[in-house]
Amino acid sequence: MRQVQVVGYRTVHVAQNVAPVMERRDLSDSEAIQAIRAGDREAYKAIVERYMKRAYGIALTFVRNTQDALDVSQMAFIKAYKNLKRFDAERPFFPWFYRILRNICLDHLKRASRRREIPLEDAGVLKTEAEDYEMKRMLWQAIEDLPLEQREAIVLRYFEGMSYKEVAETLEIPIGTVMSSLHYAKRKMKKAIGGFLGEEAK
Amino acid sequence: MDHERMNELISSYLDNELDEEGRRQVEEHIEKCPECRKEYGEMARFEEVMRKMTLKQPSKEAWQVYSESVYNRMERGIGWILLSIGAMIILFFSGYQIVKGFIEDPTIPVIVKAGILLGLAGVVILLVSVVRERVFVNRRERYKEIQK
Ligand SMILES: [Zn+2]
Repeated sequence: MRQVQVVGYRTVHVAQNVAPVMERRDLSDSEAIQAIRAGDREAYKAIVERYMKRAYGIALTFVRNTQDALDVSQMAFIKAYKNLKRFDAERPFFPWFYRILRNICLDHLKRASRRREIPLEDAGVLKTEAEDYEMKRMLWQAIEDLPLEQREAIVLRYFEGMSYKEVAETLEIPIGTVMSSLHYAKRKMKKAIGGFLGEEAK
Repeated sequence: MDHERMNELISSYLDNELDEEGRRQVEEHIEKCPECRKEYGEMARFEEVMRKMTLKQPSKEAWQVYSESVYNRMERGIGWILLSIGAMIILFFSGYQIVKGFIEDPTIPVIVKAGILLGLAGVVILLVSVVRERVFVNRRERYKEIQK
């Protein structure tokens, strides 16, 4: 966290040689929410820009294509904004937002399957280079085959770089459950790409 | 300690999630247990592979316009709601004007008047809902174009 000086709900960035660009960007989640509640709509930008990449990444693992991931993650931010009244500002923002995002993603998938728009297998969730294409395809398939909770834990842990504690907070499950979920998931994934791991060991 | 539990600990060990005591337990155990040492080696290679895994990213421009798009979509959402309400009021009003002509015509039987009234109300409702849907779909499509 950067050092900031709070003046009312606005935060003045104490910059050394940088001009104070967009002071709202420095608002913490709870400061931003306070500001929005006080009528400063633009303060929501701080939250959107803080979590957009994370939201996109999570959405991508559900909807499996870049365009839809951008679309549904933005829808989640809009829905969160509209429901901000119902958000308990004492609690961390992201886990609350995560539930909105997940629901929108699951809805999107339901609608897509009703329209029989089955996404092309391997439309590309993992960044691939030619040489590891096959392994990534198998790895992603293994992730897809995991039960929802295990898959969510894997995504947050590996692709969003969260600690066990953060995963537990986001999914609202005990840390012990995170530990065993990840363990089971990893074992299945490891098995799926076992051949490749062996090769690497040589 | 059973291997199942140890495997779980090894997994957490490699994720850097164990405390001093846990780390020591794992280190001591794999020192003397070849089976768990093998598991440790495999897991470590797996972690190595996972570290290189990243998700596909959209273009840089997508991030630059991301928050703007969120605001635009919110505003457009409000805009369309207002527009729909406005259109509905106008439609009902003009419909009412036309219908009034019939109603006040004493040569048309009451039952026919009622039929026309109900029919028109149905048409208005259908029309509004179709327009609303069309507009909503178009908006989504247009938005997608912008993002490309
Ligand atoms: Zn052992």
